Formats: sequence, C-alpha cells, structure tokens
Amino acid sequence: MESSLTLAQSETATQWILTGASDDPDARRAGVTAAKQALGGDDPKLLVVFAASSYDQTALLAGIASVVPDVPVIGCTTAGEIVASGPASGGVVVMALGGSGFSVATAAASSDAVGLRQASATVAETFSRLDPRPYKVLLLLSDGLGGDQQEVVRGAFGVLGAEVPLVGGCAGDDMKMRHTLQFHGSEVLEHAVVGAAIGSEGPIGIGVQHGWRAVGEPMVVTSSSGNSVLTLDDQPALDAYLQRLDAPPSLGDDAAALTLFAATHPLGLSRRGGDEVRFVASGDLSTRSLNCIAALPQGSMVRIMQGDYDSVLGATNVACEQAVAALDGRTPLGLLAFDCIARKGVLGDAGVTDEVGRIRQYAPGAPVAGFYTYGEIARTHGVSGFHNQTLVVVAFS
Amino acid sequence: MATSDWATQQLAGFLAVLTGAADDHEAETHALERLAESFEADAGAFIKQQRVTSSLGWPVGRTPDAELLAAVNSDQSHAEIYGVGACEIVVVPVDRDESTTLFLARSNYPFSAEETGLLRGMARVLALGLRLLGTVAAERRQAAENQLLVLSLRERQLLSDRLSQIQRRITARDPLQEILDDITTGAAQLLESEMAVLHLVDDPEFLLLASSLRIVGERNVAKHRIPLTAGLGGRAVVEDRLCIIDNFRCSTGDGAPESNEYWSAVAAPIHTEGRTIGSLVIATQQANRSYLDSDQEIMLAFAEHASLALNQARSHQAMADALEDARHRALHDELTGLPNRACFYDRTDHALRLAGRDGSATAVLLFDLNRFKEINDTLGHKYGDRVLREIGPRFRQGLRESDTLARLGGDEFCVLLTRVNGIGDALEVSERILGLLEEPFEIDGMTMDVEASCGIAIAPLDGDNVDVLLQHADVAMYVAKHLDAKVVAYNDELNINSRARLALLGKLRTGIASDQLVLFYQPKAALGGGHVEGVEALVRWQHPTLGLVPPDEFIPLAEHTGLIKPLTTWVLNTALRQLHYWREQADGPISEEMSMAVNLSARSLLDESFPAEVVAALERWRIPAHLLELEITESMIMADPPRAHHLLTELAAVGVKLSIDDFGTGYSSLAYLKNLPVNQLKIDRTFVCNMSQDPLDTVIVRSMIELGHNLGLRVIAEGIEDGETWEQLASLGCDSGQGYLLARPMPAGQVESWMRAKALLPVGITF
Repeated sequence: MESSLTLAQSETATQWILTGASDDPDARRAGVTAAKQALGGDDPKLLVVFAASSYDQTALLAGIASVVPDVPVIGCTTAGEIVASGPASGGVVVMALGGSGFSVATAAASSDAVGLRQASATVAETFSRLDPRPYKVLLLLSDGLGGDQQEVVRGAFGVLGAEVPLVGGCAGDDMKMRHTLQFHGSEVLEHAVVGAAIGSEGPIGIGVQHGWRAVGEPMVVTSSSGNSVLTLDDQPALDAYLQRLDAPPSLGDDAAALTLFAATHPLGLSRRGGDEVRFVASGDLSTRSLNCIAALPQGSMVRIMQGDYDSVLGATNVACEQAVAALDGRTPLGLLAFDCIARKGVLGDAGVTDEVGRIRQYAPGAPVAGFYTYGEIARTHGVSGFHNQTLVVVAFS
Repeated sequence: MATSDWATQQLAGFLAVLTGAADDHEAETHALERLAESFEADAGAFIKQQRVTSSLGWPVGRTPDAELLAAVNSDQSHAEIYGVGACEIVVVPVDRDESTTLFLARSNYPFSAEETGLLRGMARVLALGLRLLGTVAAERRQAAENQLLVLSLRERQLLSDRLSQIQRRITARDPLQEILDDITTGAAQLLESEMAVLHLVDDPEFLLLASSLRIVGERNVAKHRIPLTAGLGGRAVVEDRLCIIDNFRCSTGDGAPESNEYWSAVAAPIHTEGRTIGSLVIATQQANRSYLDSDQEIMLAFAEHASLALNQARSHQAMADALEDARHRALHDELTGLPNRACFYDRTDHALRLAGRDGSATAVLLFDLNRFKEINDTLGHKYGDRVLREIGPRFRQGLRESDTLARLGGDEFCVLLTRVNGIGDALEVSERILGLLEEPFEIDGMTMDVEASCGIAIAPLDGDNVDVLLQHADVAMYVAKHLDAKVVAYNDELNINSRARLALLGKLRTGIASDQLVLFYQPKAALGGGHVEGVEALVRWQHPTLGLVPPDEFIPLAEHTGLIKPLTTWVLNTALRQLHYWREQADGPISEEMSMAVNLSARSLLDESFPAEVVAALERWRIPAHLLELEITESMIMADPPRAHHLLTELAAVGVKLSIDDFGTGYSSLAYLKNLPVNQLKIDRTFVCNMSQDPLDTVIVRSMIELGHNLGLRVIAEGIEDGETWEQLASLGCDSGQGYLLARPMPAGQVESWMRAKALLPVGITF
C-alpha cells in the first residue's frame, strides 16, 4: 500500500477531514505514519482507525498516540481496509475529523457482563455529552462474532430514538472468524462496542444498498438458537443449505472452505421493504448448524440470496448516490465506507478496486476510508438497522 | 415475495419473543421492538388507560406523551410527532379488559388494510402472552422455593416453543387435522396429562371427536361421538367458559364419561366468528392432581390456538370437510382403511357384552411387526406404508368374515375373535396369520420379509374389559419379542407392568424429549501411578417433580419397551459430544488418550443397526474408535449368544473397545467368553468392596484378575472405596480402578475441575 494523504476542507472552512494510511509491517511505525498524514489540520476532534488484524494493536495505538496524545480514537480490526487509493489489506487507515464545526464524544463498553444491548445503550448515552450541532450521527463499531448484532442497534435506538441515525460496522479478523478487536483511546478491547457521537455543522448523508436478490422457494427456520440456525425445513441447517445451493458435497466436511463459500451465499430474511440479508459466518460440522452474524428467529422464513458482479457493483452507485444526495447539494468533505467482506468475495480484487474507484467518483478529491466488515449498521428509518452483505456509505459535509 | 406471504410470516415466532421476557414491561418493550421491526415502524407505544406504559423511538425520558395520546384518540391515520416528524399511524386494541392499545408510527409509507389486520392478530397473541406472563409473575412471587421458579420458567419456554410451532403451522396453512393433533398433543404434554381431546359441535346435540391423544399405556380411547350433555367438554361448549373438575370422585352426579378413569379435568371452549364451536379437554389420572390457575391459562392458550386454526380454515366448506374427515377418521385408519383403535374398542366392547350372555370366550390377538423400522429406515416411509397397506389383505386370508382386524397404530395390528373354544383356537389363528406373513412382500420388484410377534389374551380368563385385555395382550407380545418367540399367550406371571410403571414410562418418554436426562461421569485410573485413563458415562434422570430417579428404576423400564433405543442413542451421542468438547479444548485438562465408557443395553446387542449407529456417532464427533469403550454385561450376551457374538464382532471390527461389566455376577461360559472379541473385564463391586474384610473375596478377585490376564484382557475393579483395597488390588496386578475413593460420578463441569486439581498432585500420589 502506498502512503496517501488527502485533505478536504468544508466550504465554510470550519470543518476538515483527512486520511492517512500505511502498510508498514511494524505496528508502531505504521500508526505513526498514518496518524501524521491524517493530522494536517488544526483542532482535530476524532481519529477513526481501521487496522489489519495481524498488527500488534497496542503498539499501533501507541504509535498514533505518540503523534497526537489527546485526540479521541475509535477503531477496530478489519477483514481488509479501504483507503483513498483503493482496497488494501495488511495495513492501517486513519480518518481524522477536525475543526470547530465538528463536535465529538466517544465511549466504549464491554458486552461480556451486560450483553450487547446494554453495552450499546451505554455507548449511546455518550450523546448527552455532545456539544449540540444541527446534524448528528452515532458511529458504532462492534464485535461481529459476539452475539446478535441487531441488539447493538436495539440498544442504541432504545436510548436515542428515531431522531439520531446510527452507522457503523462489525470488526473483522481477515476471515479467520476467531476474534476481533475494538479500539477506544489507547485501549484494545474484545467483545466491546465502541462508538463516537458526532455532531456536525454540515449535513451528514447515509447510503445503504446490498445488490442481492432472493432466489428459489423460501425455507422455514424450524429451529434456531441465537445466531445459530439448527434446522431449515426440519433438516439439519448446514445440509439443507448446501443442498439448496447445489454446493459440492465436500463443503459439508471442510469448515474453512465452507466459510469462504458461505460468504458469497447469504440468506435473506423476509421484511416489509424487501429481503434483509444475513451473512452465514460459518458452519458447525458436528451439529450441522449454521452460524450467522445476527439472530434468525425460529419460525422465520429465509431464502437463498444471489448476487453477481453487476448487481453488487450496481449497489455501490446506489449507496453513494443516496449518501451524497442527502447533503443538500453541499460538496462531500469525506466518505466513510463499511463494506461487507462478502461483497469483496463476489467482486474479486479487480472488482473492489473498481468499487472504491466508483465511491471516489461521487466525492471527487474527498478523502475516503473504510473497511471490509462482518456486518454493517445503518439505521435511518424504522428500527432494524443491522445489515449484512451490504455497503454503507456515510458522507460528511 | 407477495405482501401476503410477508404478512403471515411475521406472526410465527412472535410469541417466543414475549415469553422470553422477565416481566410485563420487558415483554411490552420486546414486543414493540419486534413489531416495529416487522412493520418497519419508526416508533411505537403501549397505552393503558390513557397512559403511555412503554414506548420505542424516543430518547429515554422524552416520549411525547401528550402528542401520542392526542394522535391515538384522533381517529386520524397520520400525525406530526416529535422525533419522528410527519408520519402514518395505526392504533389497534390489545386487551379490552384493560383498555390497552398499541400504537405504531411510520414515516415513509401508509399502513395497508392487510397490515392492520395482521397487527390486530399479533395484538391478540400479545394479549395472551401478557396474560400468561402476569400469571407466571404472580406465581413467582409466591414461589417459596427456587425449584418451583425454575420449573415455571422452563414450562413457559416449552409453552412458547409449542405455541410458536402451532402458529407456524397455522400460517403455513398446514392441514387442519395435523394442527388440531398438534394442539391436543401439546396440551397433554405440557400439562402432563394422560388424555387430551378436541371436540367440534356436529349437530346441536352432539360433539364429534376431531383429535385425541392418550399417553402410552392408556388403552382407552375417546368416544368419537358424544351427546353435548354428557361430559365436561360439552359443558364448556354450552356454558361457553373454562370448566374444571378437581376431583371426579367428590363431584357426584356429574355424569361425565371421564369420571371413572380420571382424577381431574379441564375444558376450554373454542370459537369461530364469535360462536362456540367446540372444546378442548384434558384430564389426568394422577391422584390429588389439581389444575392450577397457570394450567388453566395454558389451556386457554391452546384453545385460542385451536380457534385461530379453525378461523384460518375459514370457508364453511373447509369446516364441513374437516367434520366429515373427523367422522371418517373417528372409525378408520387413514393409511390402511382398516378399522382403527376406536372402532376396535367399540366392537370388542360389544362382543364382550354378547359373550357375557352366552358364556363364550373372546380372544384378542395383538401383532407387532418385527424390524419393520428397518424397512422405513432403509427404503423410506413410502415403502413402509406400502407394506402396511398390504398387511391387511394378507391377514384377512387367515380370518373369518366375522373377525375384526384393526390397525391400532404404527406397526401394531389387532384381531378380535369371537366365540373361540379357548386358547387353542386363538393360537391356531395367530400361527396361521404368522405363516401367511412369512411369504415375502413384493413391492416395486423388491422383496421384503416381514415378521411379527403376537400376544394373546382371552376373555373372560385374562380380563373382562377391552382395556385389560389389550394391556395383557401387549404384555404377552413384549414377552414374545423379548424371548424371540412368535406367539405368547398371556398369564399373570408375565404381567410386570404395574400402573405406576406405565405412568413412569410416559414420563420417561417426555423426559428424553425434554432434556431431563443428564450424564454424570466417573473417572477411572491406572492402579499403579494413578494416571486417569478415562471416564464412564452414567445416565441420571432429573424429573421436575419426582426428583432424581435412580437408573435401576427407569433403565429396566426402558429396556422393556422401545424407549431404550432412543435412550441409548442419546447417551452415546451425549457422551461422545462431551469427549469431543474436552478434546477440542486447547489447554484443557483432558489427555489425548482419555477414553469414554458407555453402558449398553441388552436390546442394543439385538439391534443389527447398532454398529452403524456407533460408527456414525464416532464420525460425527470425530472420536477415534479405540477411545470408546462399550460396557456389556454377561447376562446380555447370554440372552442370545449367537446374535451377541455377531454384533460384538462387528463392533470390534470398528475398533471400539468392549468391556464385560459386572463380571462375576452372571453365569458366564468361560469357553464362550474366550471366543468373544472383548478387551476388558470389569470386576463387580460386590467382590471389591468387601476385599479388605473378607479373605474369600480377595481370593475370588485374585482369580478373576488371573483369569482375565490369561485371556489376554485388561482387568478393572469397580467400587473401590478405601486406600487399602486400592493397594491390595494394585499388588494383585489389577490394571485399573474406579470407585468413590477416586471420584464419585459427577457432572461434566466438575470433571474438568477435578482433573485440574488432580493434575496438581505429585506423580505417584493417587488421590
């Protein structure tokens, strides 16, 4: 990854956004380099950090803190980073928001003792400390391997109500599906929800699109427990799923291959406004069950979702258009993207380069940062704001 | 997907969300969330007596109560509400008694008529859920003991699962009959009642049986058509309310047909379109059992679901069909067209009354197909069903026109012979039929062998009513199966099925299905050095009301019936899953070579599919075969030596270790033993526990150890309770030991801490 530096200033010059990136294998040096690049403006308010899971995250955060000791930091590990120059992996990307136009308050809470909902609610409380600004959003990062992620949305929504939009994503670990980490200040956390309440003088636009469509007859979730689907149509879920997809039988005995396959073959949960996609994270070869990133309630109907290169890439345009259109004609200062790892699976290396290129076209010259996620959060209408296999784009102005 | 598909799917599973909650408020909050998610609403609220009790969509403490109430009372379909802006709104009643309403607001599109209808339905389910929850909460306050609390929570979960399943079937428009059967089964199981029936009003004076269920062991069958005035079910219809009888014996003059057999009963009315059209009745034979308030609520919930199901089958035609179907089903078995159990009861009753007058004998011949399950398992139910259909004509060839042949269920057939000249006639007929069955069945070019066992009971000798006769024929049939005899005629000595045992059997069946069984593990160690070699899995039954039922009470019972097979399967899989889990723990205390011992039943040794089952379980849990030890007793082997030999050889070929349990207590033929592919002898505790006191026992144990070693077997002693015995056994050369001295059987979690604690002791110290 090349180091990159991009700066954008608001038209009224009270706000700025900058990004920096590095793929230095030394964690501390990578942190220092990326932070230095991102800190080109006065009065930094927030650093958002997305880093490869291979880094020593404590050293990385120490590197960042050595450049700017007192700026709030939130971030997480990824399944690949998105930087201005395109998709990347094995590095770190930092986005800085600064200037008097932005106000920020951050918080972190572990879900270990209290559960995801309460952790998320605690993080949402931070809004009470936020200096008022006309526009606002709560940015949330969570551990996608740690429970029903809809609970993250429920917890924050319960505190903030319909007034405050929620965005964010679930941390990744480069498809190892073992554990992900979240950052708050110089702390490296596990099983945590971290969040930043962001107030802004300029509008904040949010775009959400997945690009998948349901195929075939629905199946009933005849037995499930939390995020595990035990049976579909009364058959062991893993076998019913593979059978429905005409998948090679060998996948039923190979956990790693199954995870890769499942990444591009999600399930769709029937909703009023269309199917909501559910990412199948892994299969349990012994119990023949499927593990998803959010709960699939017993009794619900699911369908196999299919996406191809064009439909998935088409969704990129829609998400970006939505985000930029919500800025009331103002020029975007910077874009934050939460892109499902599964979309990367469908698009391939060339496709994701194309995708990041498209994102940049919607905000020429504006910095872009983001990461490949295990689940995305975007709640603007209604209450179910947790998504899978989706691209969420946030445009600041 | 069409909107209607979307809509019906939202109902399913909704109740589960409610019943997971700890109190009313939490249930309301969860329900609001779920409803808002289903309807993509931005905000919602519960309003009780003009007060907002729960809300969603506003920051904590900032719900605009006044604006909400104004919107709710305005009759408008849209409003401008703080935090949401201009929005579409919908208001539906939840509980009229409490004047509770539900309010939802959505900013982007209006609520359709269909959505509003669905929301009304969900609100009804919600009211039910909240009522249930209120009852449970009240009970919880009263519950003095923690145990009771756990029980009620558990029951609530079961109830919610059960109702969700029924809702799912209703929304999926499954056949009405199946849904009604689910309702009777669910009510009987949840309320631990031996009988559940669902009647529908046939004409103004009669009730027709639409679905019924009796727990195993109860041979009586509901009357398929009863006068409206005859029983509790009719009363619930006439009075249109929940009716309850706490103790039939005390309530004289009730006239209910249930009153002879049952202790208590509850009936709940079923409605469609505001009319009472039937009732659901459950009854129990358990003495002193009363149905509590919470039980009555559960009954109402099931009756409400029957109403939902019948409403779904809206058209009158569907109702008429269901009634017609019920009439036919009341007397005939659907698959074979033969008379069913109810019909068989009627005819036998009638025959017995006639025989009473002329003094003739009546015989009941109960046939059960052997290894019929194999046909189902290997070729599929389709073939199994074809065989069942062809059985009838085959039987008929051996019967007189006047004899009744009925299918009682599963692979059980029953013949009623009137005016027989004693047992000889009955034996002759049964042998003739068994002979006819010997001819292979040919289906789609495939030949299938079907064998059967037959049990005979004769009236008046073996009983003077149909219940007793069938029960005794059943006992005789089980004995026939067990002895591998084709026909056995009943005599009193065979009868080991007391009423209590049958009741326990019903409970055991529920126990297996509802996870009341647990495994305890008892470690065994090398006598020299104390290194832990493995654990033995021992099954325990924790019944919610009976407490811990000792294995020697329920295992023989399971052995005697078909229950031992699911029990063995459960134990095998649970034990291997546990071992798998221990092995997967990266830094766990369990060694790579730790073995798991599982006790087999005599039936497993007669079950030819058992080796394949073992292989499948080993593969499923990825356990190397040599780490599984199967323990068998001498008496099991001696019950059918050739077959046991065959099965043990197959099991040994798989690589599992075989161990002779309780060695010394049976009548082993040494000559036979040495030809068996066993690996280990386990000296019975009765010899071991007295060793330190009784020199004769020491001599016996010494010779057993020598015998084992001479046969090339490892020898393990069980029941070691003191250090002296341990040392003594070690000096006699015994390989391993097990017993309270080392560790008592304990739950899996404790095994880990025990192992950790043991690992801390210096090498060479055993305990």
